[in-house]
Amino acid sequence: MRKALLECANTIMTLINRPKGKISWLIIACFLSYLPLWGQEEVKVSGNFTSISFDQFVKQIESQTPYRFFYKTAWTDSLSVQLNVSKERIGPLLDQVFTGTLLHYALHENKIYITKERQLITTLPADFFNQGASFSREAVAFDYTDYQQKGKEKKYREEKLYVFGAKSAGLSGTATLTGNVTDVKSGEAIVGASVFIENPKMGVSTDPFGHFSVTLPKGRHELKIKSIGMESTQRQIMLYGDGKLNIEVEEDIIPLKEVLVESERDVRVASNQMGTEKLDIKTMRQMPLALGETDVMKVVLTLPGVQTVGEGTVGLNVRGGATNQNLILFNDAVVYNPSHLFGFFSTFNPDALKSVELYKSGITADYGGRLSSVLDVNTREGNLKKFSASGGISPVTGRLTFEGPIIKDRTSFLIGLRSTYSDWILGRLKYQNLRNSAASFYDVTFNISHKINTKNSLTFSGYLSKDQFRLGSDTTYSYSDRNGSLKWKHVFNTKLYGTLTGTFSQYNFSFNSTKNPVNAFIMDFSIRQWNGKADVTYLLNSQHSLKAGASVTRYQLAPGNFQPNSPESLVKPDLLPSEQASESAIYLDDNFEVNRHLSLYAGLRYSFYQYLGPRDVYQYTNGTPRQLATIQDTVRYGSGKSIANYGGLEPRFSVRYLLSNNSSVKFSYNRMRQYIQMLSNTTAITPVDIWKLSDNYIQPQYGDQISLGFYKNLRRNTIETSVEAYYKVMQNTVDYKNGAVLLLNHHLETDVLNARGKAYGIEFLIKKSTGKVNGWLSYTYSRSFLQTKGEFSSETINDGKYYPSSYDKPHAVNFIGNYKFSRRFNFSLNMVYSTGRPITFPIAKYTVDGVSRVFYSDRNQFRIPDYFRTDVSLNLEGNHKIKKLAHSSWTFAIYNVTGRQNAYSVFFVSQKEVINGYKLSVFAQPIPTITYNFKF
Amino acid sequence: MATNRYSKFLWLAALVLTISNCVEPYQLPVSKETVNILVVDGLINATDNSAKVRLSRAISLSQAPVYPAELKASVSVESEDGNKYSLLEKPGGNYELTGQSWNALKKYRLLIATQNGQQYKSDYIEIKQSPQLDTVAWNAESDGTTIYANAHDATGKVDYYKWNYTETFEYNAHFGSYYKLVNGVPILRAQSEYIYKCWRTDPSSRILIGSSIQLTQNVVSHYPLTFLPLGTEKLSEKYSILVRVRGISVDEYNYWQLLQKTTENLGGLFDPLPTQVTGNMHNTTNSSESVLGYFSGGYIQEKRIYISPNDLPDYLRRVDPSGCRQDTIPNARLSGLGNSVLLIGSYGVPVTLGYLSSTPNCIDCRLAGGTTIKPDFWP
Repeated sequence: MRKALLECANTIMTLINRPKGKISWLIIACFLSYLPLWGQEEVKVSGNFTSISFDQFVKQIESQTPYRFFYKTAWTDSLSVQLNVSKERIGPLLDQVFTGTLLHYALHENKIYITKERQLITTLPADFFNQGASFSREAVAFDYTDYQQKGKEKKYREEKLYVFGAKSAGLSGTATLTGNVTDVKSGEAIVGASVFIENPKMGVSTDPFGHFSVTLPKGRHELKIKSIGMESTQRQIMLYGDGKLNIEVEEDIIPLKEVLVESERDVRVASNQMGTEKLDIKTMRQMPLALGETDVMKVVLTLPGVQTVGEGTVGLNVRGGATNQNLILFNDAVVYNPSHLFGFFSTFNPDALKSVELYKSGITADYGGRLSSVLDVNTREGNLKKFSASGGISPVTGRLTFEGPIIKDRTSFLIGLRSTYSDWILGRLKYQNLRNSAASFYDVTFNISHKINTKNSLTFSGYLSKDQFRLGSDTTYSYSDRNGSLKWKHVFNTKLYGTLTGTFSQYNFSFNSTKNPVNAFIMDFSIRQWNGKADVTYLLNSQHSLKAGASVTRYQLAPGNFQPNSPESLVKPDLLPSEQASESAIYLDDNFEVNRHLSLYAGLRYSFYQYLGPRDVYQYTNGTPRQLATIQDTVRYGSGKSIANYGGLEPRFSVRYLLSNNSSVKFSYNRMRQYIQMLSNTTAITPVDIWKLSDNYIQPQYGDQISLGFYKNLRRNTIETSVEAYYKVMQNTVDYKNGAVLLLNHHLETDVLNARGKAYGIEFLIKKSTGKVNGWLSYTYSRSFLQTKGEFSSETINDGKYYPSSYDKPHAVNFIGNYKFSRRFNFSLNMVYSTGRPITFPIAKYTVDGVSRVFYSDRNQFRIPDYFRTDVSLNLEGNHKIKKLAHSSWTFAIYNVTGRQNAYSVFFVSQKEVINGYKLSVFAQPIPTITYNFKF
Repeated sequence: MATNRYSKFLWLAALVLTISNCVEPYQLPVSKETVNILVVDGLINATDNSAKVRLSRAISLSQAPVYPAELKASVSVESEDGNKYSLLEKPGGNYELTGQSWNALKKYRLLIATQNGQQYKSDYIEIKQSPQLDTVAWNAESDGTTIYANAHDATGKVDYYKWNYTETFEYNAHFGSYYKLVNGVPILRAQSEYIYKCWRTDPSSRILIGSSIQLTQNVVSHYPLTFLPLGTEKLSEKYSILVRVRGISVDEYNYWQLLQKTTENLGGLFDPLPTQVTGNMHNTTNSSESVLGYFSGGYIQEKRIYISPNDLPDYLRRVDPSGCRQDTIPNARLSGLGNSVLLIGSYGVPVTLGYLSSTPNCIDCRLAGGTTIKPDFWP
């Protein structure tokens, strides 16, 4: 009795000292409960409880004794009991059962109340009626802040031993553990999280539902779970048999932490993939960038092997490939023009993004349709648990993202909006010309995801971007990219799951002029594509998985429509006939881990393309260059008639051999085919570049790449190093006759040439992932050449010799560094160097028609000056309290700190009798920006 | 149409958004290669029954812009049916034939044999009809005056047009000079020695081509030829422009367009890659040698207009200040001055104390590029 009173008083004192929570009823309970307990005979329990669930344990106790248990099964379902007791009192017995858990019990009139984290007090404090009497008891360490509480829970989960299967002596063979990895906060499935053990090195990644199934040797393991943007965690498991373990992981709430490298570090050496870069939005946010916006494309440009022709352009050149050879996917739908405002911004709203993956080599067979690379951009799903908003304000743009549940824990939405106020800025300028100009853009990202049940989920995502601009003069340009995708994921069983995806993409541009009514015109271009695909993944076991799928794409292209744009206009309407084609593919993938060291991947894709009527096709006289004068005949193909067929196998293969726990070599080969190309004879992508489907003259491009890499992690995986070398050849890439006309051309085959390309290079990378100082340094040596050798001199460039492509930049060095002063304050530094791109220079001057002109060299025989830029930024985070109205951060950045006037291009102009050379720089001065980001 | 406006916008967008877009002069690395490319600039003019060809050589960029003439070449025009018409050599690499009427139904080509033994041949060309040059007119805009032309072709055969013009304007020096200094002694100028009023003549320096191929009628409307900015000296006294138009073939149009693209508007982010531009001349001795320039033929229409400041709206009747100031030279100092000092007039009444002077460019109109000889056609 005295003991009970003492405990009661003690507990209440503790509660009073920390006045949080409802305690009054506890006090009453304390008073009420001590009496009946007093003098009661203690009941003893005996039994051998081996690997039984808590439920079973309770049943056994309840059958032996008058005790009745009250508890929530959710708290105890992962608890199993391993005890052998005889004549033990219920208290100490429960103490043993609950050791290492957060569970507490309270005993009152044969009723046992099980609570989590806090004990239910059934007795009064010892000195309740005896104030002043001294007693002592070790203070119970309660953590009251949510943060500490969370930490404690996490620690508990990480240290607790989860036992699966019935205990058995002989621990031979394997067992399969399945489960889901979800975000504790939003309930969102974590895709691509690594679930693995270190010794022996075995593991899997979670599938698109966050589901994993890993087969491990029986016995005790530390199961590690790592994922981008999430805190790493681990579980202690004891495997006697198969079992199910759901794992909730927390978002890495300290956004300054470099999570990219940490989460990937085990993957880089051990995964089968090579030439792949995975970026998460937090890494991107840290990088200092121009114009105060986190920009996916600009971040990608800092990776080894990725080049661009110049600042202010969005086109990527991956490993010596052309800008149109990149498959840019936004939630599985193709994006044709990823740039706003001439490439000063990319069209992906950073707040809505989840991850970006770039595949430079070792592209798996489920991707196809472009030669060089795949850039897979995925948006987040909305928060399943609560509403929130985030956004940012920078000097040129503003953005806002809302998200939240529609049905809690099942359906969520996310909508992101972004727009510019450059129009407003232009309107305030002094010069009339600028005031009359307009430049605006916006984009909308939309996502609804719905969990039908544990086996099925649906995701719909939509995207719209629009740009419009007018010069001081009269021509107005606009372009728009829109796409949508609907995805149904279905889990057949733990070994087999599939997805059905339907996507639609449309890109169109238009420009018009109304200044001179006689010449007023409007010109439109559009391309649309519909795609349906089905994929299934079958996990034979943790070492072996198969993936197969089929895809059908239909293209519809309106290559040009030129129409009068005023009643007085004398413009002759010119409508280019539409083009249509279909592209189908089937593929099969096999991932096989032969043994601890050797892992193989083999994939085979077969693609088939048809260029379809209705269309009139010009026939050219044999043995003459294709030009207007040599058109011999016109052949009419009816609707749906096949004009040209192409197809072929696209084998993909890669192999990884682990040399040790922290080093590996990898090799990959892949062949890609591309049936649609962008035609552009400018150095940079422009919004008025047209796309062209392969036809009977312009043949599909195809390319082969082999690459070889060596990967080694140093200092307990905190420093990663890698060397990757590649060689690739490309056939039928597009090149242009000198002075080719591409817009409104009824016979593009007379201006477009088929070229061969070859590219090779070697990429070195050192990455440090953790610590106060982190970042990466890369050096790339790469070359890229084209050869255009036609039958006739007008179809031959540079005498048919290999010449450097416009994006051939042999040396490139990137340094990205980050220093954390504290958790709230960090500093980043970027340094970028590359050789200047090739350019055609004038080599002579002459006079004709009374004016001096220049004569150019062979194509791309000179180079513009080398490129070098340094950027810095400071990130300042608000405090790290988890519960506050809004999280905010400030970014102060300076782009091009040294103000180096990097040449975008060098050009020559005849002015009267004199030929003047000029160098154009895009960002010629340091550009400071301030961005305010918020989230609530 | 699209591309050049495009680049303008880009400059502008970059300027506005970053306020740091920058264009600065760039000096080419000096190439050691010697350049020796023949340049042919030839035209059969069916309107005045002539054929004129100028032959010169291209030079490397680092050389002074003096283009060596190709002398002692044998130049002739050959018709489809084999008739040859030789051109006579004139000074400065010019070769001419006059008084030869050309047959618009025949095709012609140019044959050249140079002193160093190379033979050149052009493609066959047509004698293209000229469009009707309807009007040359001007339009007052807020920041200056645009001269434009309208032309049309009723036959429907002319789809491509090439323009050029010669502008002539009358202008005055800031101060008149009534005296000249001869051996330190001021002497009244004869009227023939006045250097106050000048006429300057300039050719067009840009490639001016147009097309009506995208229109339902063969009309070129309001084709802008040149722009006279507000305050220009060209409109201070009287201005005249002689505009010529010629119908050209599609090949020639493509040639000039490409030349224009590669030498007049290049360097913007989205401008086309520069390329080698060669015309319709070929070296038959060595086919890999490039030949520059173009040989063409056709009829030419021309029209001249005059603009007086009085024709202009008030706000355009303004000439930028010259910044010229007068200075006084006392008599005593005159003897020490050379003949190059220009005197405006005397000061001091009734006794001449000295003479007024200014810098030569304020007094001698010829220093601004004109001549004091009034052109024949000037009214």
